[in-house]
Amino acid sequence: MVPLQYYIIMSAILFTIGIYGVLARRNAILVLLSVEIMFNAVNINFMAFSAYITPATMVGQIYTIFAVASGAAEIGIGLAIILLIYRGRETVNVDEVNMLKW
Amino acid sequence: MAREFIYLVPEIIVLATALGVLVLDLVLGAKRKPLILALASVAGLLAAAGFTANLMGQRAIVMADMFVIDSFGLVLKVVILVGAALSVLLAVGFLERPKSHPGEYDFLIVASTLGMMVMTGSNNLLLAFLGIQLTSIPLYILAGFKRNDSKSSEAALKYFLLGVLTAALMLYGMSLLYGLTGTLNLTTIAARLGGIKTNDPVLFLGMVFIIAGFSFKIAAVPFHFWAPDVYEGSPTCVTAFISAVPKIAGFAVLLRLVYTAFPALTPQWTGLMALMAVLTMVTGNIMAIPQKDIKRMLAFSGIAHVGYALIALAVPGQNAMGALVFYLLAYSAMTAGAFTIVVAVGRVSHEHQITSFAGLGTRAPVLAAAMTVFLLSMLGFPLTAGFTGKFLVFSAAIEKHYVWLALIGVINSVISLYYYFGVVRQMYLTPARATTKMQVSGLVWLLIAIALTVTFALGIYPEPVINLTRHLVVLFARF
Amino acid sequence: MNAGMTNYYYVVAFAIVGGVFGGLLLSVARMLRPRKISKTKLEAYECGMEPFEGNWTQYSARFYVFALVFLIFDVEIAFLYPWGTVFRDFGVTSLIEMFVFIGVLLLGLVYAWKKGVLKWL
Repeated sequence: MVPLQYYIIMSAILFTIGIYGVLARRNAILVLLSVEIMFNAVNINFMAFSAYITPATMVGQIYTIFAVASGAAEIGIGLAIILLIYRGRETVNVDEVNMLKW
Repeated sequence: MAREFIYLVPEIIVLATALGVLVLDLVLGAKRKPLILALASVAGLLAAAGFTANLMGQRAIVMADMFVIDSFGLVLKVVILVGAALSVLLAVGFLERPKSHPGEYDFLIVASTLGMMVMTGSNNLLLAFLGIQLTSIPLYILAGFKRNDSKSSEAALKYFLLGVLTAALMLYGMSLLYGLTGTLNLTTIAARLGGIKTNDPVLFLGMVFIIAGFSFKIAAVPFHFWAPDVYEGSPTCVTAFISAVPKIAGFAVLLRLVYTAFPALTPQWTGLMALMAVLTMVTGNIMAIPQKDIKRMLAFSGIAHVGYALIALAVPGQNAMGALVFYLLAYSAMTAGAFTIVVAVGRVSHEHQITSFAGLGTRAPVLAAAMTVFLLSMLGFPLTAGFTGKFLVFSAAIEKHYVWLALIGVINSVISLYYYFGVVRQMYLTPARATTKMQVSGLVWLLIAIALTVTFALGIYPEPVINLTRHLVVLFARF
Repeated sequence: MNAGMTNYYYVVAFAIVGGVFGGLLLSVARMLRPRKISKTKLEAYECGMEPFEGNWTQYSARFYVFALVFLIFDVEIAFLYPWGTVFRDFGVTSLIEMFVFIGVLLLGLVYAWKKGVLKWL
């Protein structure tokens, strides 16, 4: 058996990569991709804990399915909003989207 | 199994209303469509509110321990449903313009309301997460509802990006908690935490991540960055909805989380809440002062109010919980009222600068008087809802020896005098740029009248509601 | 050596046998077949039509709507699998619930359809 720690460390690394991407990337689509990486880190956690901590009930797997489904809905909306921004001002760079500020 | 569905009748009605609005949108012709769709949604929402009120007094946990029915949740659900119904009515004028999509608007509001009901009743973190998603995703779309207005799309983008980021943080926190306890059920978490060291850093990290996710929903510092931009960029009728209703659900789920799942961690979360309360109050009030845009100003003032409400979460105990529920009622009445007036003024002046309120005292005396009442209530002037709310929150804090927290709250209320008075000065002391009388539709008058009634009722004769909130909280706490 | 690792040896053995077998067939074919290189053979294969663009062109953004509608339904179908494994135990209630679920999805599709989302302008 692969020890549980490996999964947790793997998911922590993925999660950190995702956070770095969100903070460092300026292209809205790449920010969205980074958030997806974070969601997938969470899914790895849920699956690993499901297999190691509650192997009898499999609730963690169900949590993963719900997380994936809601993530898909979010991505759909996100791409639509980014497309809307692109139509309006020909850029998806989040630094250039700055009409609203005090 | 099937009998459990009786408890879910309100939610089922709201779902049916949402789907019904979609079908009606396809079937109906263009004539009078916004009004018919709005009336259909309002009928559905009010029917659901009626059924919710009918369940009052019942206590049950249904759907495999996922969903709680208690008076605490039921009362907040009634408030959410009524608030959603009123904001559907508020949008009718906005949706009567050509090329607006009334069916989609009403559907999104109703769907978001369903999400808030799920949040309010959830006894499981996964269900709370799904409720938050169901609330947020329609709100992202609503924020960008003016498709040709790039400010509106920008508001949607900012709301969305910060929303998914906090959703991911929250889910990660939930996965850590699941790893530690093997469950996401709030009651079971509390039971299992008994056997775990409560100073476990992973547990603390998980809790902080989850609280961060909910703090985004209520726009508490440091998760408030979306609020001013979204309030400014969104259509004003959407802003009125976002500013009042989802915050009730956010606080409900936060209250359930800390009181049901984390009684073992009380010192940790009260400290966290106290810190957030101070930061939120101070940031909100300081940032509200230089604002030129009334919607941004009200956004920061709303952040400050979330800070006052967080004081009630920072001091554990029944009185504080009752004060929080009362404050939420007062806050939503006065904020929704103020935004309704911003909608009315914006329909004439087509802008949302504070200066567009100039001379409102002569152009529309009743409107100006009502705005003054709402601003005084936000300030915490006696005989208004805001005063009673602040009084309850601060006295709950003092009672638990958190005098410094109450003191910071009072000082912040004094600071807020400056920017609230700025609007009043514009209305009464600055000459109007246009001298014509303002036309306000009957629907808007109705909404303002309702908000005024609630504001005064909670200010002048609050005892029944105070007793009710304390009673509710006792019911909740015994679970 | 525990059982979990032993399973991986089967995988390795399978990979080796598969690789050798496939490689053998391909090299036999290479030795036997005629070699006639022409320009047409190097072009991208597009269902028999002559390709009129390189393969690094941008796609029309309109594909995104179809991708979106597909994505949503694709992911929601994932709920059918766990349901399929347990619905015997829950009986008629869970059958009705799943039909309600599919009905809601279908209504969404019909709405998108009627609003002209699936039309190629």
